[in-house]
Amino acid sequence: MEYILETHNLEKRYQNFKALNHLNIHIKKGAIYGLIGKNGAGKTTLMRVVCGLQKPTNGTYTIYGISNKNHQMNQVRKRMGAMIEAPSIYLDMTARENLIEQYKVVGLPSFDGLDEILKLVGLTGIEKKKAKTFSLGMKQRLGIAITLVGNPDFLILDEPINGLDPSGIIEIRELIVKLNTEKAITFLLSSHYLDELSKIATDYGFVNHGEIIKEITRKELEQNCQKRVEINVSNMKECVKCLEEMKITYEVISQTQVNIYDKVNISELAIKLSNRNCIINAFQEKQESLENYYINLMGGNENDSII
Amino acid sequence: MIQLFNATFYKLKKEKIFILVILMSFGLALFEVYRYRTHGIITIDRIATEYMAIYFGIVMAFFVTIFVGKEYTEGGIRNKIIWGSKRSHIYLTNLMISIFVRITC
Repeated sequence: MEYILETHNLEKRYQNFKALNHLNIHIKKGAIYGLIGKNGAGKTTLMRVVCGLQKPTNGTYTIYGISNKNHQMNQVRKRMGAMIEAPSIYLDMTARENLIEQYKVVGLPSFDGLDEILKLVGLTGIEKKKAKTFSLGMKQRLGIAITLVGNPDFLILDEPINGLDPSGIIEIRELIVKLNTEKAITFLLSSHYLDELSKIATDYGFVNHGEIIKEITRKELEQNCQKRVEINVSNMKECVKCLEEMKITYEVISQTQVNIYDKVNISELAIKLSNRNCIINAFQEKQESLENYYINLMGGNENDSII
Repeated sequence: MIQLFNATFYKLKKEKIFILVILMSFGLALFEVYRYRTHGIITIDRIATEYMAIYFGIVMAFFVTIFVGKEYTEGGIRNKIIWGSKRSHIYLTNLMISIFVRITC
């Protein structure tokens, strides 16, 4: 398994406060990794440390297999782009001028591809407009355009859809998916909009109090969140035989609990189980959204909300 | 570091503050000439102390605060560090640009 980014017990401390607390994250090549956590969980701090904006207190991270303590890390950073907290754009310059400035920082000999980048993010036709007159959505798009200079393989975007209207959110979402599928760019995204993240992320990392609580793939999450009927029975052996005969997809969770994933007539099932001396003690229909999964994972008692 | 210098120089050309500083320097120079024509003989040490040290020091403080400050307020320095540029190179580039502006004015 090739990982673009891995952290090993990463720690960032501000005096007595631990923003990152032995954080271990693994981002596969080609993934769209959604980093989810409440305000102050450590998402932005992680991104800032990985981008080199801050140094870790303890622990290490590797990007493309190169450790942050290796002097080659500066060369490795040329393969990544990032937009942290807010788009970094010069307000007195136009979109084109901002991109030209970034081209010069990167050291590209010509401005080939500049127009394509502007077209990709939907900023054509406004060449003479200064960035200070842009709407928030346009600034976000210009920020993303700047991260694309130099053809990076790995992009880190901190809340890229913050403040956007619904059509802007859709555009950014489609752009991320397009870049991931067509240009094989790996993404690390953080967002409070779980519904949006659930539409594009291939992997998820749940952060709380500076550590990764859980890492899960989209497939595993779908399995966990899949609509199911949870049944509590008195005789698991007979229950399994009955479900096999009915050709129902099921999963045995424990000695007394089984999850059923197909649509089932509960009355019919109850009668059949009863004929086999098996009693249904309890049953419950469940389907979790990413939001519910997150709340259950973090503990529903905490008052802090993700939005 | 040459890339950084090129990028910062390009940014300088687009900055209104650069034009303003040149105009302010020109205006101050004219003012000094007028003062000494009406009040006394122009001597090199008076130009050096008053014009260069005091007036132009204020102008350069104004320029550096705004030009370099924008790197932080608008986040340009973030892009450079994320790309892999060293902070020392960024600071040195800003210093070189400031010296260039000083000489130009």
